[in-house]
Amino acid sequence: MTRLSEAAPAPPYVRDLRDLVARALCAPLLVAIAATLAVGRSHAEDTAQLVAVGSDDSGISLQHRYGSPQKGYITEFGGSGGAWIDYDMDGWLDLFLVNGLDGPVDNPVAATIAALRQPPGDVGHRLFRSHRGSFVPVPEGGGAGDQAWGNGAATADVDSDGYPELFVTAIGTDRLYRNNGDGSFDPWRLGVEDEGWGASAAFTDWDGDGALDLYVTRYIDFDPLNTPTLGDRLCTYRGEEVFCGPEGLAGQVDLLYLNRLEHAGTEKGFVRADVALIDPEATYSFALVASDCDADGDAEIYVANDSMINQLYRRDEGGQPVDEALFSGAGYSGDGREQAGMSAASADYDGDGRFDLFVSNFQNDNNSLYRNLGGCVFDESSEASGLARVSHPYMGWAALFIDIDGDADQDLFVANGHIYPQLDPVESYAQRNHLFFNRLRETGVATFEEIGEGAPEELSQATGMQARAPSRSAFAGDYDNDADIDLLVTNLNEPPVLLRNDGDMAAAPLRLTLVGRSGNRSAYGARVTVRSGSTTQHVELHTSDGYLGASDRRLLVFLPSGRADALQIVWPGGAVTELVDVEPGSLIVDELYGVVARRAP
Amino acid sequence: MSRRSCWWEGARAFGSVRWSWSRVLVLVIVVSGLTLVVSLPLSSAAQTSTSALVQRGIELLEANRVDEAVEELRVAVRLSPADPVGRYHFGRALFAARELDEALIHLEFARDATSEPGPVEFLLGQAYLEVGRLTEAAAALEAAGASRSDDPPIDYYRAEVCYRGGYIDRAREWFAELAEASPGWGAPVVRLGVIAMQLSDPALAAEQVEVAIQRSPDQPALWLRLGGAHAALGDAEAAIVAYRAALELSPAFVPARVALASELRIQRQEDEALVEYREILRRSPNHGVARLQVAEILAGRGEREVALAEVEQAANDLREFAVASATDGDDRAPSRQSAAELRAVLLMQLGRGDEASAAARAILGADPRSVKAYFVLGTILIRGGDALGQDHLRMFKRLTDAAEQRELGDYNRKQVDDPERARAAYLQALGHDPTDPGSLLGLGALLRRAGDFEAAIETLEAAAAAGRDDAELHREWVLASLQAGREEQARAALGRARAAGHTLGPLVWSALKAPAEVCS
Repeated sequence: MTRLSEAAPAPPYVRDLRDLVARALCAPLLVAIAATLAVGRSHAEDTAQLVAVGSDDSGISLQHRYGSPQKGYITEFGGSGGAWIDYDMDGWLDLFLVNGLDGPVDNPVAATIAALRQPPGDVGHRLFRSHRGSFVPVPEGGGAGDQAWGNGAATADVDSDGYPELFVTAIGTDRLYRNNGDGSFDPWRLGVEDEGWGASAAFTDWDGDGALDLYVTRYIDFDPLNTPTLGDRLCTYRGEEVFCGPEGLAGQVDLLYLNRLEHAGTEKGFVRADVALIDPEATYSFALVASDCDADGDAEIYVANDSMINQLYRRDEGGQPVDEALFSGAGYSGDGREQAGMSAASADYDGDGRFDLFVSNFQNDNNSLYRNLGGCVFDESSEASGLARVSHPYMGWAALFIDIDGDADQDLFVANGHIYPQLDPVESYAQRNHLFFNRLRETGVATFEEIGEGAPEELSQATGMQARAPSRSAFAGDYDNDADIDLLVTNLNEPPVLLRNDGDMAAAPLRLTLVGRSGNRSAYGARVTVRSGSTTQHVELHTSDGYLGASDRRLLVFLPSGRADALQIVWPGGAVTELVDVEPGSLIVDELYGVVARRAP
Repeated sequence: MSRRSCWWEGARAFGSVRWSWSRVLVLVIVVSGLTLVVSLPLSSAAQTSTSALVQRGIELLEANRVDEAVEELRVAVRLSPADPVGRYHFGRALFAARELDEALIHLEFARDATSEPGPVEFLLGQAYLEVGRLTEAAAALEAAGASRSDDPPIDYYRAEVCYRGGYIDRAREWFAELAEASPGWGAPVVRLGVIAMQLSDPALAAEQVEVAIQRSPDQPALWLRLGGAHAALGDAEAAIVAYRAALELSPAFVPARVALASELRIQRQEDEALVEYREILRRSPNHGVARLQVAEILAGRGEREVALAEVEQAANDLREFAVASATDGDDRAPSRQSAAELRAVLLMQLGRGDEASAAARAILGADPRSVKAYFVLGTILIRGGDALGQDHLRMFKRLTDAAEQRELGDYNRKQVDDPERARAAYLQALGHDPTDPGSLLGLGALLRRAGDFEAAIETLEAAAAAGRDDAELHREWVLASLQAGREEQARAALGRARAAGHTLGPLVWSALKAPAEVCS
């Protein structure tokens, strides 16, 4: 265990000492302002202002392709996602966007094969390099711009060389791209190239050997020859004929790949975990989050399934995965119904030190917030928290816990959009996204409140949440490095939207970039406890919350008292780093060397 | 107006009222009763006081106060047991009260004691029909028609006897002839539609009911039937339009509003469904089924306190209905079970764990297959650190998984007509729960269709042993027994089904044809 403090020698590569000094001198004033903002704030003072940044200003352009506008098959409704990834390690988040294809709509695999035979065009995944927050397309996605029926992305430094790799799922073949460290990617065949319907994926050190393993959720075992389509009049919704599924179609088993890159004699980099133990019922899986719900130091894997029981993988005494969702209270809705889980997220929303779960669901059902009672036993608290009724008229997709207003609690963003274009396009197919403000810091009780419909127009506009679209994925990151959380939201068959947070944060920010040593280099699974005045926050490092997306791996916490009186990092391997009297700003913390870089706000 | 033209007028009125089986019967009873009042001589002046009671009974019957009429006429018959008039009207009242066996005793007495038995025979024919004594029904109706040839209502029932006797095509022809001969009369056309529905031909049913609507566009019951046919065709939009048309004609027509609300719920238009259920409750505050639906919708929205109050009220209403209808059979038992389960769930969600546990245990005491009760009890036990909860939750999942596969099997068997997928689903369901009655029934039906009659009978017996007891089970059982060459067993099974109050429908009637004279 290392114990460091502000008195520790400044690392040799603090980039701008003069800036640090200037910021330090201003700190008391900033603290006073932040404290004033944090006390007694009303709705009118909510500071999150998410401003949609146009393509011309951001440089982000993508016409998303994902089948036909009519959505005749189930394969056409779910994509696509992407990732915030600082692939060139310049300190600015770059952006990777997954794309699909136009058709043939009845056979995404054939579509991918056909597309791969074509010369690179405007179809394919996109990589945008950030130039201090402005994005420039990288030709051919820097080597990761394959043309495929792409779904999601996950990122991690798989080979511990300091540069993050990219993993892209698809209806077809999933692919891992190695980051060469020179601004380019190359396909990397490490045994994770299974064919099927890969949806969300996450890297996590499942077996505790220090290397990041990979869990891939998979949805349907799609058979184009035996799947009804529009015109067969077999499936209707609200009286309209729509595509069929997933009921009646075969599910596809999820995949857990164990990383054996550093194991001698392993031909492939990854090997499948015992297939009998993972998803034996071949559930319709969409999303997952790796989170330590029993506080034993190892992340469990929670999978959100469509129209089936969710899964919660814990470890038995031999370290083998065992699904305990049934006994967890998070397998079903609170009244024992299977729900159409689209997304999974985890955070300590109520400040009790336990990591809770959230799952977005289908329209006419409520999204589900599962409060962790301890030991991975949950109580569905959607209604008590204020999240149930408001979600009913919406179909939820990517959900992210984020401290959007900097008041040191976990707010919640949910992307919404229906799957059937046959519905009224204004009222139902394209939907408004949701931003829920957590009132924990204001009231002492963790309840959520959405400022949108029904609120004064200026407030609704201020949150930037009026636009309607068939949204799908979302990933969070501070792309402009101004110490607040921004969002990238993808929309089905429409361009993505960059939502820049222009609000004033309620408290001073502290950004933490963690570098693991005894465990995985990305430090996924690290648990950070921050005490600032009377406020204690517990955060966990995982980036694949939500649906099909990967968020900024840098943690951003806010300090109500203006400083972190104590900060503890429990690393994935079990080592602990403790810091005291930490000023706002940015820290790079290395598991072995402690704070290796510091920058003032 | 001659007596004959009076019959004809009655027949026309018969075709123009809102059609339903019981209404037709009541109407016929009234017409027949009035005729008999004229035709049956009173035996003596000493019967004056009895006559007053009989007259009062007739008036009550005509006012549709059936229970009171029965009591009034029971007294009259006790006073003058040999009076055929009193016996006849008592029989009418009992028939209207669906006390068929007792009604037959009194009607037979009246028939034998009167000089003009035509109207009595007519009613007797219907009563015999209702209890499945088809040969006697045919004879009675023939006798009724002897004095009135080409009489549409009598012919209508003769066609119905034909139909119940398994002569489906002849019955349909007969109804079609009646419809053609009496263009202003909707009943035969509607009957053709109903038969089409029973023969799983909702398209033809819709067509027939539309013809009936053209004849009598202001009959809400016809629109309700049309809605049902469209719903069976999967055309929810047309069904909703038809239900709304019924309600425009008669806003107080509760069955149409229930059907509308139900279809709206199926189409996930819960706000609209809620409006309709509330309207039903405004008109019929004790409609327990509607109140349960309201509770379910509110619970689904997370409005748990209000939902709990509603479901507790619904449970009371349903319980009282059960008590009131104890002699009638009770088709609301599933709703009572649902209400009890929803209440247990809501109590748990509201943190009233002890009450929820008690409610769940009570449900399991009555129904050891209650999925929700296992969920509630298991969840509460787990939260309390009791590992026994895992067993309950395992049972919950086992039953839930079985139900899911069973539903998939039913969908593939009944809607898609894909026996292979249906069989696979049923087998999966039985893998989860080897005694799942619905899956055993489905599998038995598939085995019968595949020609493996012995295996079908064995599987259906297992379904019955597991607690399944409904028309579908008995129908499959009778058909499988027949196809296996066990006619005696089939007839015994049919008898058991009838005794249990199940109507097995045209497939069985056709397979177990009555003697040809029922359809001469």
